[in-house]
Amino acid sequence: MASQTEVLKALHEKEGPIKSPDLARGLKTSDDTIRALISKLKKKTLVDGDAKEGWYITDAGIKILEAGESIPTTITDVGEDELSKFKYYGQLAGAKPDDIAAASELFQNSDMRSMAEVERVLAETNVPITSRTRWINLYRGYLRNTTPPEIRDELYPLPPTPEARRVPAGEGATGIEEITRGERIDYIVEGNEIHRVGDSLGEFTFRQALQVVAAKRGATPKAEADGSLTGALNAFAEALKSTSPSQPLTVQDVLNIINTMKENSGEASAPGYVDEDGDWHELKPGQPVILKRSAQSPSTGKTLVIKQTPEGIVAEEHQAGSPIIINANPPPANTAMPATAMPPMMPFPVIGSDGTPVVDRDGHPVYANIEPMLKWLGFQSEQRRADERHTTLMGLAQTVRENLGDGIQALKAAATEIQKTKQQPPPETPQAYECGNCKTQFALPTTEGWQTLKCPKCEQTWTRKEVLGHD
Amino acid sequence: MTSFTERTARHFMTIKAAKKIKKEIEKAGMANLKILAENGVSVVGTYLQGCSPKEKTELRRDFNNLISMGITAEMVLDEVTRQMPELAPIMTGKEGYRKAEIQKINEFLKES
Repeated sequence: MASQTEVLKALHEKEGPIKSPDLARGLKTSDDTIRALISKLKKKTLVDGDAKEGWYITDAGIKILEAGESIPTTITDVGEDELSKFKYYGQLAGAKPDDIAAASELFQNSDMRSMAEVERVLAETNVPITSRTRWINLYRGYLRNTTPPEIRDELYPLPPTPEARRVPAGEGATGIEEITRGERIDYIVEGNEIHRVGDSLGEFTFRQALQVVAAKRGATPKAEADGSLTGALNAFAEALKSTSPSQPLTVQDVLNIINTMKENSGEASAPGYVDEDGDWHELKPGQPVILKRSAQSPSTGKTLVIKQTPEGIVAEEHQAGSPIIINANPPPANTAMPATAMPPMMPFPVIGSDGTPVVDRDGHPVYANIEPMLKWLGFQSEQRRADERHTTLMGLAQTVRENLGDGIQALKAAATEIQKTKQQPPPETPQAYECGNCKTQFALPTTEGWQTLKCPKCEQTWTRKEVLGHD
Repeated sequence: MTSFTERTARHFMTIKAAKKIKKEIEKAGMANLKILAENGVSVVGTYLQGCSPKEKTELRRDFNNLISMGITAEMVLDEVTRQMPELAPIMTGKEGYRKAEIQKINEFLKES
């Protein structure tokens, strides 16, 4: 695809005006592309002319070419649609071209006037946070400027400034948020998971919730003695692993937590412990922490060993400390089952052609393992069912196809119609005769060889010759 | 002035199109086709009108491709008649039959 510089060079090389189609042929691109590029160059006063007479390079254009400068992309180069603006603001925000291309690809399939979508797309494409924030703010500005003022604040509200957010409670501040988000009691702890339940409806602040979870896991997040944040951050990261994925942390949450930890890093973090009820207790200096392992109470239940004996199944009490011997041998020979190593899963003796059971070298009956055969039969029946289903489906498809109108059926139907029409005899309309006296209409008698007939009304008798005109 | 290659291609495509039509309409049975032709009912027209919308679209596209190559409905119909000697005497013997067939084909092509 040709660029503005290439068009400018092409115009510079030719003497006299050139028309767009000639330029397109020379640069091996489409007329539309050339028209768009020429339009942009004309707005920058680098070319002049018109479509009828042709285009030529201006002195400003020659100057740029001779200086070896590239033509900068300006706002005039950007289309008026949301996607073009989105790309342009991505460039302005300093995002990488790959990120811009990927984000644009996602963005064009979403609601392009929704800030939530913008944030989602940029988060999904992993645009770095610095350029992402700048990009979002630029695009928000564009959306605000193209929205009527009365609904501008409602649709695209400006985000609160960081100063406004950090005004602490109790100082009579008029900021948007009186308490930093991380300091609100919004969280509860269930098991080892932290859940956000809403505005001041929880039991802990996020930091407290982290400490509770960490204490439960045996790792209290606290700053190292040298005051560095590394240890605290490590503990914090460890504690984060146990948070619920259903309530993802926002960047603001993380910043709040880090700020809180920074504020506390100067002073020794108060060590503490959580009791069985989940309550936090601070440890005083010098107060020892005694870890006790609760001894397991000995089981009062008895251990029973179930044995298979010739008399049947019996349960015996197991003496503590004595071994439990698992006897894999079959029951003694005086039971009904023969003493072979055959597992009881195969009760199918092999019968010879003479009708007697087949025995091995030791004289024991041979049992057949018919499990593979059963599997094979099962497989076959599955296959048969699948084949039948396929045949049924094909039959249905054939029926549908036969019932759909096609040209052949139309030809057949037309031919049948003609044949039917030909076979039908013309409808018989009985000849009516009129009595000369009373003008009553009557039909001829059906009997053959009639000679006279009477009018049904006036009973005038008419001969065959009078009616038909012949004998 | 068309080249020899173009004329050959046109001739070949005409024969191919006629063969396809013949193959399709023969499925209805020669006896039925004869009945239709004898009664002056357009065989090709009836077939085209009876096709499903999908088939119609495909046939229309194929016909329009032929037309863009310079092959007319008359040429195809004449080739169909030549390839079906059983119907040829009836179709050519009936006055106005060929004209009616061509008219039906053209109407089919103009449908949207």
